[in-house]
Amino acid sequence: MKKYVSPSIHLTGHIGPLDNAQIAQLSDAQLEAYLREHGYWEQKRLYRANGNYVLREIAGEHVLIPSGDLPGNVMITLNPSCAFLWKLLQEPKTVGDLIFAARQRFDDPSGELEKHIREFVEYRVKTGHIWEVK
Amino acid sequence: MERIMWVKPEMREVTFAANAYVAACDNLLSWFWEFICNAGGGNKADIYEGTYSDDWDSSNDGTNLTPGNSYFHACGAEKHYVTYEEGKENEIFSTGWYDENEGSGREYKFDVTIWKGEDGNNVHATTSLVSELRVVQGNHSN
Repeated sequence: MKKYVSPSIHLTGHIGPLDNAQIAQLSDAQLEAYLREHGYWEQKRLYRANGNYVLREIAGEHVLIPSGDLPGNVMITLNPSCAFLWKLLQEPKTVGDLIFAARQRFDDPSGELEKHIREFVEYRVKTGHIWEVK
Repeated sequence: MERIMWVKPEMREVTFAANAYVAACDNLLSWFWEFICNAGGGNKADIYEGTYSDDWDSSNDGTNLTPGNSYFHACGAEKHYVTYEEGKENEIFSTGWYDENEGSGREYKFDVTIWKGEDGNNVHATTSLVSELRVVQGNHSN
């Protein structure tokens, strides 16, 4: 018997140079090799916010307050983009999920949204503010 | 839902004295700022926003906020500002320098903090912006 987990769907970005019709023509072995070559397994990674921070909204500002075993003498203020991502990350999300949701909510005239989110997740995993879900 | 402009996600950490404990559900840390327009003690002067360069080219000396026949003089106006975010005060206070017009030497010029009034169209300056970190008691009881 397998352990039951809640059904969930997550997004990845488009993988590699082939379009969907071309990908559909690949055999299972070819598809696995193709996905492996183009970073599919990295894009499938799930992340969530470190549960030891409490997000509060105070006078229009989003503030993370440490709880649990974290040092109590630090507060973290989040700008609106970061607060949006933090709220999404209360549940496990892929980077693709975050990018998709952010594009629904924000205008991105500079075209840097995707780059910013990738950098944000990569950096905040290193600092421990975001956990990779195993 | 109204779409908003994307900005790079940022988390700013604010560290405070270890004995000023902030709990997740009660107390909060705040910066209190007190500004009193007192620069120059009432003498007429020009106020420049920016940095005094001390060189011959006055175009490097920032922006004159009191050009032409308008002058600044200290009026005692007060501004009290509270923020939970360190650095947020820079949105209402700026830095600059005071020029008393009584001579060209550096002795008639000094650094000030500027507040442009509630509507942003006035010029107030102080030499003694006061800030204080306080723990604000929340209304939860544990």
